[in-house]
Amino acid sequence: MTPRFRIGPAIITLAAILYFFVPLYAAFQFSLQMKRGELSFAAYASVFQDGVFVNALVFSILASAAAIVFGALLVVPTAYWVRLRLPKLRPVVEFISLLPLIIPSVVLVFGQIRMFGSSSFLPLTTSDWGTNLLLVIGYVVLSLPYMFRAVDNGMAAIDIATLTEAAESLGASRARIVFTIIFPNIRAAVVSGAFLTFSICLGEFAIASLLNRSAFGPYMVQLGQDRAYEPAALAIMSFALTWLLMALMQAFATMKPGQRLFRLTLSKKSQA
Amino acid sequence: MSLLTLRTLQKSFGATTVVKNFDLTMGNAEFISLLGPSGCGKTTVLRMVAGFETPSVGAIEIDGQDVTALRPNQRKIGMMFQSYALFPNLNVAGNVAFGLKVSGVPSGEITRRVDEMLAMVGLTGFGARYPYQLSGGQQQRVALARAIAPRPRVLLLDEPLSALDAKIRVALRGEIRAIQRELGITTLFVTHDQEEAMAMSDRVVVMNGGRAEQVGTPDQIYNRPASRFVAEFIGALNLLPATLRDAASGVVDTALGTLTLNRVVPQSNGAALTLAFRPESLRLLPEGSPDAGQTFTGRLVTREFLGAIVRFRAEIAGGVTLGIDCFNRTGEVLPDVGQEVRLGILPQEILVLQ
Ligand SMILES: Nc1ncnc2c1ncn2[C@@H]1O[C@H](COP(=O)(O)OP(=O)(O)O)[C@@H](O)[C@H]1O
Ligand SMILES: [Mg+2]
Repeated sequence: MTPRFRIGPAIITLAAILYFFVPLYAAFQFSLQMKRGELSFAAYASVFQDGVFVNALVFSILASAAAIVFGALLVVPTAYWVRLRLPKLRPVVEFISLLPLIIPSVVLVFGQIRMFGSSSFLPLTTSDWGTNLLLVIGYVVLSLPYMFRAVDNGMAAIDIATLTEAAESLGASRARIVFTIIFPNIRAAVVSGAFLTFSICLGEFAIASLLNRSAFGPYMVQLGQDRAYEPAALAIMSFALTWLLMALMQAFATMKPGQRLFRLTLSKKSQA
Repeated sequence: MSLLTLRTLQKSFGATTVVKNFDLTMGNAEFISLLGPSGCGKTTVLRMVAGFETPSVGAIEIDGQDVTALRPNQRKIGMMFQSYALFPNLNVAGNVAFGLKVSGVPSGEITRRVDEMLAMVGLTGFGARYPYQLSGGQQQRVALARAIAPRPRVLLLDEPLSALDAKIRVALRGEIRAIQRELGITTLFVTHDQEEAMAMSDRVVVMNGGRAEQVGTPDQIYNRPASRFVAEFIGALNLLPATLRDAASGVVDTALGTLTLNRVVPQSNGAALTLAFRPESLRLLPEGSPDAGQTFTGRLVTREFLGAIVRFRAEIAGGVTLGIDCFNRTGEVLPDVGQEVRLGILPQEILVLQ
């Protein structure tokens, strides 16, 4: 039986595609018009030649990497413990993890500045590293809804209770179980949470700006005010990066244990 | 000397007590099965021994050491689960090595021991495979190798064969028993399958409603059930209400007439009893053969062919229906449905239940 062609759904699908791709195409087209009268990648080259761009990008990548590590170390043991021992509390924890979606990040950063300002008991904002720490903590909070969901779904897919008991009967401690059994088995989930965290942190403006960090988000906004073609080029590159991350996420999610995503010829021969 | 001792264990979840007054002493290298219907508390007893549940009352001793307060990872036990519970991120060798690594065995020794264990469960050469690349039976063999690799003091198995095909189940239970004998590991095995329990165990604990109804060898459990529950739970049984006429010589009145058990029945005359006997205790007596024991005549109403056994049901006088099992021997002509038959049973094969 061949599915019948339906006009209604087809129109809706087409409209959705246009809605998404037309502005994207327009931006792409625009980004190529920096040189008058010809299409070129001059805007892209201009972006990369800007030393501020590179510094901002590197800073944001480091900050989001730190946020990913902190976030995973916070969320994985928490989600594990809640699923294993406090299943009744799961809705509560889930609700708390969703709060960053409800409370604007401006509120969060003002709270941070009040709590850890120059006249507080712990004046983190007075030092560079302290402010960076606040930024990373802010990123961890912002990414909590995505990280928690990803990790919690990952745990739903394996029988953590029985695996825990099996490992315990073999003499393993709780910490060992989390790091050698639970973490590796939800790796795909952690990785997808990590990619989501990364894409959020990279574009984040409010916290970075109010903490006066020269991160990528504020840079983009500044660029948007100062220039015409470069922001379009930057937007297209962000899209490309996001899609790449999505593809990697998919690849990690469907990977079987023992498989490598890339065959590293340099890596020493894995144990038989 | 006793290796595992359970002293008056009791376990309550909220208001419901699921294990009551449970006592058991296991000798070194003994294989004991906990057998009973689903929900009778078998798993709960096993989990208390493993340390996953804390007894509400009672104590657990392993090798003379009170382990009641120890955490599961301090008890030096091995465990197998119905769902295999292999670590999906580790290959077969990694799974078997897990317990050895945890206890800090040097890596050369680990490799040697993993190979030895894999050979023992018939999986030599499977070390580099991952659990998802193995069949259920192979996964459970790996789980066995993993459990015994660190030389546990007690091996605990919770229905490890229930998820497997019938053929593999029978093969694997033989292997588990053989390995258990070879290594001399004290083993507590949970099952709801009486055939499994009978086939594997030194002793069987029949459980009902959180209590041990009877502890005994398979032979004792089957042939001398201590309670009506055990008699009815294990194997098939014909039940016959009776009234005791003479306790001293065991004369009883039944719907089949008066039967003589030729032994003292420890009840007072006039007491209501239930007589019980196995379908295989009833014999179809050929035409003209002399009477042996008690005999009655009946008419066959159903005939079920079960392979090694043919199972009949016969209507006897007074509305009683009895099950009869006959061996299906080559060349033997068994009667058909509708035929009149003569049945015989020896008095010593009739159990008296209260
Ligand atoms: N964690 C628990 N909380 C509440 N009730 C439980 C728990 N574990 C088991 N039970 C109850 O205890 C009884 C015995 O369970 P279990 O030991 O698993 O039986 P079996 O293994 O013989 O089938 C069941 O009625 C079960 O519902
Ligand atoms: Mg059970």
